[in-house]
Amino acid sequence: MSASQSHASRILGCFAAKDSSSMTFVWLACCTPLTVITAADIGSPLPTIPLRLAPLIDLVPYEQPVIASGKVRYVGEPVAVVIAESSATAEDALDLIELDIEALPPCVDTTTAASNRSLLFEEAATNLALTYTAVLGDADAAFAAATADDGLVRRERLATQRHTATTMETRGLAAHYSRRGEAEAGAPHRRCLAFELCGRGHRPGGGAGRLAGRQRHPLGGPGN
Amino acid sequence: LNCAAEDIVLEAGLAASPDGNAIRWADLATEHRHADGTYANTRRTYACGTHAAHVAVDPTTGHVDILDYVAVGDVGRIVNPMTLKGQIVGAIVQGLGGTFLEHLVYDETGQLLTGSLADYALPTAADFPNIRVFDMDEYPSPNNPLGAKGAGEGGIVPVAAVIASAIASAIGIQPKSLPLSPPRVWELMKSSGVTETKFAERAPLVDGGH
Repeated sequence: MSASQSHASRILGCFAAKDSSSMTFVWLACCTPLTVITAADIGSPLPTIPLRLAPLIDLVPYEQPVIASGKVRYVGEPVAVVIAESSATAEDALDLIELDIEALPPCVDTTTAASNRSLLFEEAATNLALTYTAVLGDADAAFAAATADDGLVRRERLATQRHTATTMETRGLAAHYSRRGEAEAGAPHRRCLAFELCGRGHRPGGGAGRLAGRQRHPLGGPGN
Repeated sequence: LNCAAEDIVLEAGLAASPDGNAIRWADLATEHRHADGTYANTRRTYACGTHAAHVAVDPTTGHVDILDYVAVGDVGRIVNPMTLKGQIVGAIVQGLGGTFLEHLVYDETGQLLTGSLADYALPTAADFPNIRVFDMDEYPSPNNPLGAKGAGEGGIVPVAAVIASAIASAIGIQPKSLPLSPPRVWELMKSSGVTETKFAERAPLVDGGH
């Protein structure tokens, strides 16, 4: 283990929660993590993860924060990041973090989401982020003519399941820091994280489609 | 070449002067000459093509076999036929994965149930037959000097619709949601009253041989 390496592990939210700020940290003497980062350490306003391909203004209220603050919105949302000299120490430290959060009613399908009974972002007041209409040419005239000629107008509701990009390359980030860098940045590990937080991260390798986009788990980067 | 730069004609791999002197580009290249240029174009290009699939649906299990899959595309000028074919076959197989296999399933509490590659199935070489791809460059794009229209991701676009329509032809019901996993196709047949007897009464399939 090189002294210049730090390992980051995240604890992931398992419940929708009203409050993730009241976490309790208990350390054993053998665990010497360099630091634990929560939303409070990152400051306000908490950066959000921008969209790459369709950064529409309508979608801004729905951008996910880089780390949970006050509310955990999905299974796997990071609520704390541990930086340690080894991944084993980091993982042990994660086990010592206790979450004091309340469960919210789960919302796992579009019908429930559309009812707005459980809002993902309260300030947005609705779960309907965007109505997207695509038109080429004079569609209204075409439909009017089709109806007038007793033509067939067909309506369908089609559904595609949720699936995801296939990993061709691991989502990883190799970074190093120098003592000089540490002095400059104050906390070297935060330099790496800050890249992503500030949208200046260097993603490894190339990428297209989903791979090139910022994922929902930028904080803590690689690993689980 | 003993002439003004603007009088030089670049054609057929030669730089030629008005009086007939010429130098091959290949020879010029050995002299380590450099040139910089910028090309910008806002005119979009659109490739076009069509896909067809021949499927067999098992009325007892809902399993769908792809007997044949053919893709024809006009991608404008083809630069490298081998990598082009690889791009399109790869895109189609990705599309077949999304059509038949891949599904992020959550339980009622929001817990992901398909958290491993044993549960979230990806297409493998054994899942589908050889995809037949025919690329044409009969109609180069007029919108750029290369005549290219672009190719690659386009191969994924029609896959789900082609497969769903082929299944509709086979069972007489139009699937409207993905993925078309065996239980879902079976449910579709069952909910619409398609029985094995009715299945057998449908027009016999055309020969699926290649």
